[in-house]
Amino acid sequence: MNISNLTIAEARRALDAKEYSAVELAQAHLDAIAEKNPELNAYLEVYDDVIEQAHAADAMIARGGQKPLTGIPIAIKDNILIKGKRASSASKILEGYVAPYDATVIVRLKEHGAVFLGRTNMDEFAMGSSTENSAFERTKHPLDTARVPGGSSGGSAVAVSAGLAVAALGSDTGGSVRQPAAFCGLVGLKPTYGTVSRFGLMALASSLDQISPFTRTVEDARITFDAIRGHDGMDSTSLAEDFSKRKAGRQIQTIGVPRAFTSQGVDPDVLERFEKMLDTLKAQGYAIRDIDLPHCPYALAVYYIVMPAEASTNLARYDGMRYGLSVDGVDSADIHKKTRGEGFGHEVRRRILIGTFVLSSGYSDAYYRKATAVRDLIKGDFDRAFADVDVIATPTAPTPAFRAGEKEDPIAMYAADIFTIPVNLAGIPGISVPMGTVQRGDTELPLGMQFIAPHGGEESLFILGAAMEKSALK
Amino acid sequence: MTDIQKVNIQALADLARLAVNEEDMKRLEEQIPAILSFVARIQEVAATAEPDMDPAHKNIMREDAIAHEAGAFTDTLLSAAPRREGDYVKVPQVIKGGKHV
Repeated sequence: MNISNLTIAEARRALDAKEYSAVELAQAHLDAIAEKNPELNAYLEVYDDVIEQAHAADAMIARGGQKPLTGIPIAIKDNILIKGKRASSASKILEGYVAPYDATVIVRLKEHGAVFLGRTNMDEFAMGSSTENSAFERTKHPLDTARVPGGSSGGSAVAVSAGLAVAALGSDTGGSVRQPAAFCGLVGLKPTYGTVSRFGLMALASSLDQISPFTRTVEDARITFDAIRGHDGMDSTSLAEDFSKRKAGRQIQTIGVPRAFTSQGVDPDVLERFEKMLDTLKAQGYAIRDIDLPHCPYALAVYYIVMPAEASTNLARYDGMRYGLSVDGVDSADIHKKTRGEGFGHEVRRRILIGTFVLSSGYSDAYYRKATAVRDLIKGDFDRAFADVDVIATPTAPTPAFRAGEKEDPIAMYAADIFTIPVNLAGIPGISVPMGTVQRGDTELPLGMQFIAPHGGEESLFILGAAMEKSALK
Repeated sequence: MTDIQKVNIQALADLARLAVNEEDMKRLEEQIPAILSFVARIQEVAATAEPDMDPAHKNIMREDAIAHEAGAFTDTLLSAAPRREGDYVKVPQVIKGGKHV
């Protein structure tokens, strides 16, 4: 059994045809994890009941009750709760914490009989773009271990990329699934805000977070998305069910390219590859049109106000009193301060302080309120663009996977998400699809092309993503 | 515009209930103003911009109804608490006689 390039669709066929069992498929993954994970550090924990879960999946198949993900081995980011399993957001402040309930996406995957292999490494509380900010050591890029896999969902990306899972869930707040998908040669889908329940996802920035799948093909992204999406009363920003009956993909004719925005600060060979891919789409009959997104150059600044503001609020719950780490102190305020000081890592503390500043009396108008207003202008940019074009294309990230330790300046790290952040700010869907490779040293490093659709336009992304998959193979 | 050189990191850390040691304080005193001056570029955007206070996408609350029988999750949730006494989370005295902390 070759699992390194196995798709959900192919595994489904083989499992249903009884070519192998879910137990054999799970065991093959456990063997691969045992071999490769000590070096790559994709998984923080491999569950001890994997084979048991796989037996249950085999029973479902034997009964003829299988669903698209029955028996499919999946990796889960360490910020998504599975009842009775540890979950830490790769933070010391949650070391030893056991989830008291299932996230809604987990409930849905359990109904499918998916097999959870383990929880994957990440930047602490999803704050980062390289998976270097984990409290439990960095995750390494499978093609060049001196490089990062991207982040914050780097563990999930490497699990799929290195053949240690067939698919994985991550969370995407500013690019945390699309950017590592691009770095690792995978498909990463950030759905429309509100289509996938956030219940049971540890909150980073609640107006931006969306649970998102990593897969090897666009078809698999669609299968996973269909399994986890849908209205949930436990998430107050979940969209109504009628919205989830996806708008039938409108005829895609025109692809917009915001060249003034995408030409800044991008590696020349990334841009060259991007233009080459646009040419192949043109050859397939799509019209390519220049568009203007005049406020998108401000997106990074807006994001680094809105996100820390929401994060500092969300992280206020870590008080050393109710769960997780608790450091002794002379009184409750002292326990509170010391627990947070010791439990949170550098990047988390930076963002809490920035968030506290931009929300503080006297500065909130100039920072948080102003950022919210500019965020609306960015949404307006997309609305205007989508009046003229069906889908927008950008490179997913300005560079291929960079070297670990290369971006010590926080602002340099933030720029890794320049093209993915505007999509979260606008609440619209985006997908990263492999667009070939560039050479760095002896390694061919993958690149991603990002397609962006209007609100609820996932179907357009799947259609264009599939067209792109064919082109990138050439 | 804010004079971000004057950001008092210790005051922010106190507001955020975050203990910061001396070594980290030095680093943060360089990084926080740099990040704030980077994000301050949003001030370049036309000053007339006002946030949309009535967005199409709103929070929808659940019915204020009894979702489960009382006590169904008490033990699970309390077992996560660092200190527990019976069915309570135990915390140090918050309000003290005389001086408030």
